[in-house]
Amino acid sequence: MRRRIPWFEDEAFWAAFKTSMFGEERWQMAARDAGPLVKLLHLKPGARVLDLCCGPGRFSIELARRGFRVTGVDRTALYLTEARKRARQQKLDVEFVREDMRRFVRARAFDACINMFTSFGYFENPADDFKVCRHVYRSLRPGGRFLIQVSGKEWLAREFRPRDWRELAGVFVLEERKVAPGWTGLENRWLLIRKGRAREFRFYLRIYSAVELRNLLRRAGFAKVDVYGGVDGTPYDHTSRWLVAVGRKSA
Amino acid sequence: MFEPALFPPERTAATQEEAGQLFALLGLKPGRAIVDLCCGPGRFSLEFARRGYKVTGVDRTRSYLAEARKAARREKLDVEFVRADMRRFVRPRAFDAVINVFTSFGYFQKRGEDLRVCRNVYRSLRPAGRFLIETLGKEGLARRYQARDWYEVGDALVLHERLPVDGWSAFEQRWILIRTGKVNEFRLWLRLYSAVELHELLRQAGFTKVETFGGYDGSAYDSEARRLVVVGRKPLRA
Repeated sequence: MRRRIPWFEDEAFWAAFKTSMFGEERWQMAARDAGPLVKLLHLKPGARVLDLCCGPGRFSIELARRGFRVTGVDRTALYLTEARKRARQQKLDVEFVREDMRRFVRARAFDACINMFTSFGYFENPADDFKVCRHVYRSLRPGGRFLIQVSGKEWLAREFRPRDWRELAGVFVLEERKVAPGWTGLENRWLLIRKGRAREFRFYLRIYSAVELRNLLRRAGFAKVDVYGGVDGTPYDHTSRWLVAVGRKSA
Repeated sequence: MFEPALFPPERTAATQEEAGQLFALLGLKPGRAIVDLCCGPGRFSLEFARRGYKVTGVDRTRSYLAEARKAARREKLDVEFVRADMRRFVRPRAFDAVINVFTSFGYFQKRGEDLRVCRNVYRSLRPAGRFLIETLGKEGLARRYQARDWYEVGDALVLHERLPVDGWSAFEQRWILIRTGKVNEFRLWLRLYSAVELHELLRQAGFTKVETFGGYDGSAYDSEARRLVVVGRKPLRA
């Protein structure tokens, strides 16, 4: 019997939700967020940035446009193809690498690493999340920073709805979620309905509170970890949509 | 001052049902020695004594202990009440279970002090003894978050205000009591724990098997849970 591949290795999943996840307004959002992001990471001109789980390259391309030397890593071939095409069109020199985030390490090669838009907590084994943080730690130069942006556990609890749906250019996206016992994660069921035909995807997402994410980064070696409610550096409180954690490797 | 608001008669009635569920959850037979850590006016301590357990109630608030002792005398119940700070109360291997209920945890500004409380409890337990904490979990508090609310108790008005601080690691709270033309305001600080964070704290204190529930009934701690109940077990060989 063939082993079922984990959901995040399923190209069909990412292909199906490409439009709803990475629509035009999401690209604009990345362009808007890039400025504050650069400030929060204290990036100097020409700094080397690792965009871990870069997807179709929203941040990779925007940061390259701003003169940073960017390496985008993702495991989804379809997204990398699109990212490369976009970079070529804009005559930008970006390195895109197809690799699993659990395996990518390049010792002391980067000034900063970003992991955006809830691209964290996918693995069944929590030790894999830790492994990713260790790899990033090793891939950073002394004084380098690692920024993770996720939907925080507190926000997910505050906004929790068992079901909702969206409509995008004639396509319906239905989402159903259940809280795993102990609020350790969400069991998600997404339905994509195009021309009246439904496709179903199920996936599990491990979720982190600010304190939990801070502890994870500390355990991975980051000397100083700050948490924010967005890339704009606001406090993480009851008004925050995002949880942003920034870990700094000792200089 | 907040006693009528915190401990109204309905709560006493609910205590009986909760006590039954609690012992089922802990698997604790009558005759066992149990600590009610932060016992307040003795709501649980007295109910446990009625059910035949050997109870030690610990609290630092003098007026609550006086009331608890009086109630025990009235019912001719043999309960030991001790006035002590939970950071200092230790009695090595003296108890089969320790409970800390009704959000009586997270009052100290340093997480290390919460850890110290858990280590004290660990030491005070016999091998295979259990520590149960019942609190309002961070997830439930976020889910039902309201910056402000208020209610009436008899002729008094109680106003609450809360603000998450330091990345949702704590609430800064204002409690205002208004009665007969008098306004009393108190500022409180409470460390918030998610299920995972409390689990981690108990593991750090030495508890090996730690379980998480959404109530004394043993239900799951999920989107519907109103409370967070965490039970840690001291290993048999410890």
